[in-house]
Amino acid sequence: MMNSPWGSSRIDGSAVTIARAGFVYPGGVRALDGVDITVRSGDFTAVMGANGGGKSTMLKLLVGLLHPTEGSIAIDDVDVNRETFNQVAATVGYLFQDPNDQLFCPTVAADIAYGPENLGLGDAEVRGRVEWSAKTCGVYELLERPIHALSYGQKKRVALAGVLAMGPRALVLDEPSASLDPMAETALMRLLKGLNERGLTVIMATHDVDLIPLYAHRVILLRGGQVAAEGPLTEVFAEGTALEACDLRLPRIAYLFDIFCDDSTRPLTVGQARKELVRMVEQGRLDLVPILLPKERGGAA
Amino acid sequence: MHVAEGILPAEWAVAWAVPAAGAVAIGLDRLKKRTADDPSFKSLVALMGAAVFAISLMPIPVPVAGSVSHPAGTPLAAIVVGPWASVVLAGLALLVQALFFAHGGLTTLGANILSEGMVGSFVGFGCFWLARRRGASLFRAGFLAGVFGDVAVYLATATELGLGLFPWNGSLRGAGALFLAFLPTQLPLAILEGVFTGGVLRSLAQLRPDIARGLRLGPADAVSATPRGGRIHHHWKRGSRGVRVAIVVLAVLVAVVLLGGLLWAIAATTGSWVGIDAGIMERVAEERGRAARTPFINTDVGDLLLFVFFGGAVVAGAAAGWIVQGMRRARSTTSRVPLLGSHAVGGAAGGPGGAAAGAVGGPKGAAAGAVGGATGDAAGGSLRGRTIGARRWVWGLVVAVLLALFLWGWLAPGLALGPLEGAHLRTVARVMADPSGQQVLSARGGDAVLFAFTIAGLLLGTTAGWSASRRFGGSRPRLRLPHLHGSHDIRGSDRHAWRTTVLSAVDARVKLAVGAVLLGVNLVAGRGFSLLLLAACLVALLAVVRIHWIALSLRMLPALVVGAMLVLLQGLTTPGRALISIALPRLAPVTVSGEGLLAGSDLAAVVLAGVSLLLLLGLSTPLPALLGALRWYRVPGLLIDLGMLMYRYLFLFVEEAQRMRQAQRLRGPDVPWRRAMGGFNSLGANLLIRSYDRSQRVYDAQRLRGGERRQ
Ligand SMILES: Nc1ncnc2c1ncn2[C@@H]1O[C@H](COP(=O)(O)OP(=O)(O)OP(=O)(O)O)[C@@H](O)[C@H]1O
Ligand SMILES: [Mg+2]
Repeated sequence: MMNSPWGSSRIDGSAVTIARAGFVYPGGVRALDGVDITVRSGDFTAVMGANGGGKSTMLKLLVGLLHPTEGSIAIDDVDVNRETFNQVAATVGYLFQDPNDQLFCPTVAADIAYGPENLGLGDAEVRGRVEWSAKTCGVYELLERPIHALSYGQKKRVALAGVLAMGPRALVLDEPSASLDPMAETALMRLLKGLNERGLTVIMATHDVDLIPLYAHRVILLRGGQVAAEGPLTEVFAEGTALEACDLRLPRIAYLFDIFCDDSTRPLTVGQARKELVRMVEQGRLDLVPILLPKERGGAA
Repeated sequence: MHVAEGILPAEWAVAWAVPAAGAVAIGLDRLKKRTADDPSFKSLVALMGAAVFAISLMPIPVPVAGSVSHPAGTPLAAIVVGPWASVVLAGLALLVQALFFAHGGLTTLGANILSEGMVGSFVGFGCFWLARRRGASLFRAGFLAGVFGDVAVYLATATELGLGLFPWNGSLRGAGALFLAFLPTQLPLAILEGVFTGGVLRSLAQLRPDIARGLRLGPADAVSATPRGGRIHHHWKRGSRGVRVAIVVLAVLVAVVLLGGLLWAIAATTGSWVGIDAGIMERVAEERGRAARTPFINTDVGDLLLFVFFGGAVVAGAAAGWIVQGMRRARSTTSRVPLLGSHAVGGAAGGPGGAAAGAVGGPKGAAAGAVGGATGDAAGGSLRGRTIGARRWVWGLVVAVLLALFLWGWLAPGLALGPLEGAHLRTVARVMADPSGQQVLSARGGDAVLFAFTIAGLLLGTTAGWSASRRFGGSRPRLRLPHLHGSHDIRGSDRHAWRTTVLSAVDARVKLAVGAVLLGVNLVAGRGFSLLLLAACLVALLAVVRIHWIALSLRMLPALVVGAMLVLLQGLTTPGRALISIALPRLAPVTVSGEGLLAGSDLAAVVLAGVSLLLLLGLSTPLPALLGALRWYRVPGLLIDLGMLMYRYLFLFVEEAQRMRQAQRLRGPDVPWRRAMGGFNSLGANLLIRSYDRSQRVYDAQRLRGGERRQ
């Protein structure tokens, strides 16, 4: 029998409040500075920024692995601090950037079962959750394998399965899609999207600007530990300048459209681009021939 | 130092197990309290457990003794996590090693925990803190801890073996002899362990003062307070004083050993000590009415000469092999030379060396050496101009001269031509070998045998020197994180254990119980049972587990060596009909008895049977399953948790080490010895740091999934 940890009902996602939070590492590196953000229940939020921008630090603050040196953080109404660590951990699922850090049990099955067992669930329920998570993350065949006999991407999936099996109300994921193969990446993002549509709050750090517009509602841009921009996806992505200031860029398809026309809004995904193209051709605003053909055959290129 | 399964008689196995169990219990209790205060401590302990496991399995060839030995690791662990916790993790590491690698054993677990765990931890820890109190730097304190901890472990092992293998009144003497036998191998290793322990601690304090502070290593060194750029590359400069200290200590220790040997020799001749020397044996034998018969090896007819030549050739060959391999590598690091040819070049150089050594004995030695040189030269001809270059001609000239000498010396007696026959050299040699001038120098079996012995010695020495040089010499960094291979292949064992076979399907609890009973019976039942058990296990290993027979022999190798040692030891110490008797000048003759050999082979059978049974158990059951079974048998949960974590860390550790080793190989072509040693230490420290950071994150991962509620 396979059980989804949330049953079939709607998931009551958590809200996250970060109030003027700052963080300085013991060595003196200031990694976060005055971050002030609210993530509503059921949001799909992408945390983006250059390497060293403070993404991982911020996510660790959210689950209480680090504690803010200034300001405060709350999950729903619970302040995140040393006393509430277990309570927060049971609510928020955290995926490490490196799966080697996350997996510590001898076998895949044991590692996925670790969390549910600690929630005090019965054996049947634990087994059901393990099977569901393993199937969902595509590691069902690996259940009896020792962890160290897995590939990196497989470890990543197992780590995610272990987080999902706890049935969290919010997911905090540090670069979950990095180093997955394209199929697995799509499957992962679809899974997250599906859970998010059922109400789960998802916060994920990533650099992948081509992927995010497909799934996220909101984007937080971090630069040097400060929030450079924050808001709905379309707003933050509207101008390339904000992204480029954070060593990111617009999705490639948007740059393709800069070649076609300078006035129209930039599409962020292939789907949007298709719609936009159809619209422009129908309105007669776009003639592809002079753009695509070489000069000697009457084109511009 | 692992005392192999079955070596100790049952009563001693129990006698050592009791205090060991007590120590582990105390350690566990303390650990429980400390993990209650600081839950992340558990993961640090498991990490150090993995480190001790890997370190005490690390096969480090010791060229001096021509064998492979290993450091203890517990002094470092004791400094990092405290001596009691270190006893616990040594116990765990030893258990896993016994079950998975047939290093040590279950019935000898107590003895091993006592020596490696308790003695290593407490002596190391004690030295460290004494030194720190007196203001020693981290490096020096760690160095002392490593050296003395390591030596103490072997002293303890020798004592255990002495008590277990010798009759009560001879045990002290036996232990002493064993310790002396360990020392040539272990002393250099102890010093290496000292440098490593001190180096790791120092690098740790420099690279990560935050961790070092958490570890309570005492006040940080002045050095670590002033961070500098490119620190790692300067390590050696500051470390060179440490090495000077190491060299002085080495010299002192060698002097002590030599002095000890001298005292031993004197005592043996005057017969004032009770023990293994053959004077006593002969007396006992006479009392029992068995007179010693003419021994097989009889120095009175010149057998000693054979050994002198053999030994001289080995030493000379080794030196030459080392040098030439070094030259070859320096000349051409890229061109691939056929191995056979290379050996021959080693032989070519070995010739003059052998000749030099042999010169003591007379022209025959020079001759034998020269032949070695000649054959080497001939076979090495294919290398002409490619690898050796100019220096080769010098060697060639030397070889040619020696070849001439050979012809002269070898053929001359027969042809009655040479001025050397019966003349100076022979006289000189005779006087040197026996000042009293009463012994006639002539090897039994004649010159041909002498010749054969010399050549064999040369070949052996050259091969050893050659491979030692390849491994440690010159332009490759000599000290890399050693690659775990052969009988030490953790991943290989693990892969076997996870495979599905008839045996792996059996419940681990059953296997554990049956295995324990069989091991116990093996100790008391006698040769017949042991041989049967051995055969059954070997068949099962080959047919059911399907381990390749070469891999199996590799894994059985340590046990075979131990078996051979036992046979020899018993042969030397059990009174009876003398089979071989070696008369050493000014010493009572050393006698090997037939009864002793038989008794020794009985013991060896017990050891081999026990080891193969453990191998069978380990190779057909994954460690997690075994630990689960132990949990069922009510072994403390903390111990099992630690074991599970250790199992995971072991692979993290090996992975990390392998990754670093690969990265190092890809980027570090030419590292001189000194830098390499410094690099080795900072590598060790880096490995520790990376693993430490990882262990902390793993601890976080556990917490995040409710791990704290488990305790
Ligand atoms: N353990 C640490 N000690 C000191 N400084 C740290 C530590 N971890 C991170 N930092 C510093 O904090 C800043 C933010 O790091 P963080 O790991 O949050 O970046 P990130 O956005 O996740 O980067 P990446 O994309 O590379 O994962 C960086 O300047 C980094 O050097
Ligand atoms: Mg990061």
